[in-house]
Amino acid sequence: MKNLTLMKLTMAILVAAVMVACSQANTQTGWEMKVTDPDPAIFADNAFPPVLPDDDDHRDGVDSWMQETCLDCHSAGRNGAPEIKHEGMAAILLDSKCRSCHTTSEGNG
Amino acid sequence: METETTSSLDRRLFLKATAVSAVMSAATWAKTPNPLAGDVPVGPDVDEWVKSVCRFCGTGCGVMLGVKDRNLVALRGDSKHPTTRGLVCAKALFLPKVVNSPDRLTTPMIRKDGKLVDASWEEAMNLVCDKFANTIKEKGPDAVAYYGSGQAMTEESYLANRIFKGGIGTNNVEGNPRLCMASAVGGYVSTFGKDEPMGCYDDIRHADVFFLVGSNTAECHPVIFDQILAARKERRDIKVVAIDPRRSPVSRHSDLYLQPTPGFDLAVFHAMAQVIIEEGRHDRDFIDKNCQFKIVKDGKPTNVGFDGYVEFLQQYTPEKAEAICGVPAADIRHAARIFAGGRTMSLWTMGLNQRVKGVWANNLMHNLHLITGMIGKPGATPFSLTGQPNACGGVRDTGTLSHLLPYGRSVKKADHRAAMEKMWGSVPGTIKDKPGLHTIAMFDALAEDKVQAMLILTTNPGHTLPHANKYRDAMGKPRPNKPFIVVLDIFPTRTTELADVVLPAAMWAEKTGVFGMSERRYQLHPQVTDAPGESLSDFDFLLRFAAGLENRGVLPQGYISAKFQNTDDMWDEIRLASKGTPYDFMGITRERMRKERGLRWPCPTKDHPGTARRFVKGDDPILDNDHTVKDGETKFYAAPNQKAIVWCRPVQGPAEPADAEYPIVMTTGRVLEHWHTGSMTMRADVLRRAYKECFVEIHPTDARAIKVRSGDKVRITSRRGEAFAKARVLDAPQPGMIFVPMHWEDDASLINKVTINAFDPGSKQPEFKICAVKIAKA
Repeated sequence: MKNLTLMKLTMAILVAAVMVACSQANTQTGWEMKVTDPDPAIFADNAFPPVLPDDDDHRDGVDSWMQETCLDCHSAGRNGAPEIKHEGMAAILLDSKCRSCHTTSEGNG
Repeated sequence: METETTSSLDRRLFLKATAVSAVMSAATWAKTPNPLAGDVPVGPDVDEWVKSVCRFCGTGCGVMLGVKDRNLVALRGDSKHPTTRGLVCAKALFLPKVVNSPDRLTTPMIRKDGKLVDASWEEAMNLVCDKFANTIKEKGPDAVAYYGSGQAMTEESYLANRIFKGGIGTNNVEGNPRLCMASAVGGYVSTFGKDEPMGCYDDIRHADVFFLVGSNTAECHPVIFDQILAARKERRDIKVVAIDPRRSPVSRHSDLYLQPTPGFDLAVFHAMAQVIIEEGRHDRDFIDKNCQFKIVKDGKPTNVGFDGYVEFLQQYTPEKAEAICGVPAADIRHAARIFAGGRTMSLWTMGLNQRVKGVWANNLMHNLHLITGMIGKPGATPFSLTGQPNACGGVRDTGTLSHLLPYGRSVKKADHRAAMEKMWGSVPGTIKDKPGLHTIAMFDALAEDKVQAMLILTTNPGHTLPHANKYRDAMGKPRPNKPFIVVLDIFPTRTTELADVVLPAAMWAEKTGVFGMSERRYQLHPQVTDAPGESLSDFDFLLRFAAGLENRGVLPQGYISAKFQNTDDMWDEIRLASKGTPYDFMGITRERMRKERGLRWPCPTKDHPGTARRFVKGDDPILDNDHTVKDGETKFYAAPNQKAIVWCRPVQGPAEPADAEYPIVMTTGRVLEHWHTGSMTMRADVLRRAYKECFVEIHPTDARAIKVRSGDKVRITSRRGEAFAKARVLDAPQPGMIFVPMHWEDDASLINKVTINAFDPGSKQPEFKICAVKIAKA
């Protein structure tokens, strides 16, 4: 009789514990994306456009978005900036903003 | 207070320091054929270049896929594409890295003892089909649901719709376009009678004025913005007007920028209309021929006539609007004069759509075009931009939402249901006459265990739904009678982690199908490479799912299995479903799509060139036999009485304005380098490193108040949850407002834990763009 009561009590505690666990469990998981870079050798040469050096001019400057701003320095190599040429590129691409294709990649520079 | 600017001295020093490496990089770039330049010859790196379409946003950029040994090894813009002309953005250029990512899901998984473990397709499909069949038999068809995507191919969405509505007999069919486009749909339907833009991208080349409203086009639709820049470079008289509560690269380079209080821009649109009419800049002749004016009184649309509209607008003079929305009256007048002063193309996206008054905001944009007659002419059109590659063609047009049937049909109309049941071979009466659960209601029902089994294909609601804690719990919280969740995707996501069954999906270049983008252009993307491991396309999964339900007596035997083997078979039925509707694209055959770079519907015959502008005589084939209008004139044949409706909509604010407890308005959005939940773009190393972590833009005034500098960690708290992000202190958001991008998926940065699940009562689209928060240094 005493064992039965103990068993009932244990069961009740277990059920209660499970219910509490169920009600409190949520779906925050400490999730971290797994990222594995593919082997670069599988891609064509020059498959990807060059990345811009990571600095404020290329990243967060208010006017860093527009081609005119980039060409201020890059068209004639002013301020030590490399002169950029896109030989053979269609005209409409030359009119677009540089950031459309060239990303600023953190830590690169 | 620190803001993110750099002195010119620092700039010069840095440029000198980096010059050598940059020159080397540029030199390397120039050495070999430039993959972005014109027609790249087939070389040792690439066996062939194959015509396709980008799989990111709804711009639908034509791309060429570089293939070697049946691997996708490069991508470039397709210079022969008629509208995007070789333009692409960085996201597209890095797609080969996404496709080839070693992190792809490759094997089915089943949850056992709380953990997902590898399983065979046979075991997984038996479990999925048993669960769905038993749920339907025991609890009825409305106990199951489908949640799809504007990234699935048209054939896939159409097939899912066919299975669930015409086979199982439930209208619980939804998709993520409910989160991004539903208000645009509501706007088009309530103004013009049918969904989808009447204009096209060609209009960009003809417009004198661009109105960019609630759209960071430069980052979210970069190729559209680049075309605007190209047009402006050609014609310096072109004006760009930006309307957005947050300064963005668009507003910084506009000729006129209006910065309304978040949620109150409707006052700007009405005030512009008031000015246009008061100053006689409206087109009375166009109005008389093409427009009717309505207001909702006692719940019913009521005609008020032009004079009633003019009277309605008196409550929104520029001065009164300024008091409501904070935009100076002079700027409103200036905007109105620019709008009416040339051929105007308006472009908008989530800033208008993701609002509790999203449909009304869309209506008011249409109003401006209708009263000025700036519609149906080259360069003059309202145009809602789309966020996904196939939200238009795949979900809106195929009617894969809870209230729709394919090609403009409604579940509420008996003749529409009968037509689809006949075409599909459904048992008569299978399609229900009431709309199913819309997205928020569907996930609410999941939380209440009323929906007991859900199929989620090619989307990530564990990340994208507002009030994310609630709906993540609905999908994944362990409990007795927890609903059964099946997810098919290409990568592990915040949704696959909640699923009972996870299935590996083939991606875009690994399958053949149709994408329909914003300008009604349907384009074929061909399979050029094989999916990794045991991955299947959504289409092939749905074929197996249907066969399993047929074998279990839920679907009529042969309902799907006897009719379709591949997406080509399905396309023939899809074309037939469009026949005789305003969408009619019987002429867009598979053969034409393989040869041509997409075609715009309507396109009723195999020799029809497609339609640039709907509702325009001489262009839209539906008006070919209508002799009441002359060539070049418009006729809104889908609207009641064939006249578009100019709506009198009162200005109402957001669901949750800032208050004393939560004094800051939060808005969410995107950055150029990432797309939606980042599940793809974060897997390309260069894109991932473009932003190391989630950030929050804070105005210097607000940053000062909480003693935060750029780089500090900030806690963002709403009534629903909290998130953390690194501060960027700058004057992009207005005082009292913050901006947080939505791409990061880690627990701390998942910003949709903060957003609100209030939705537009018409479109059912949630108000992602505005909720009240408080911020503190973490």
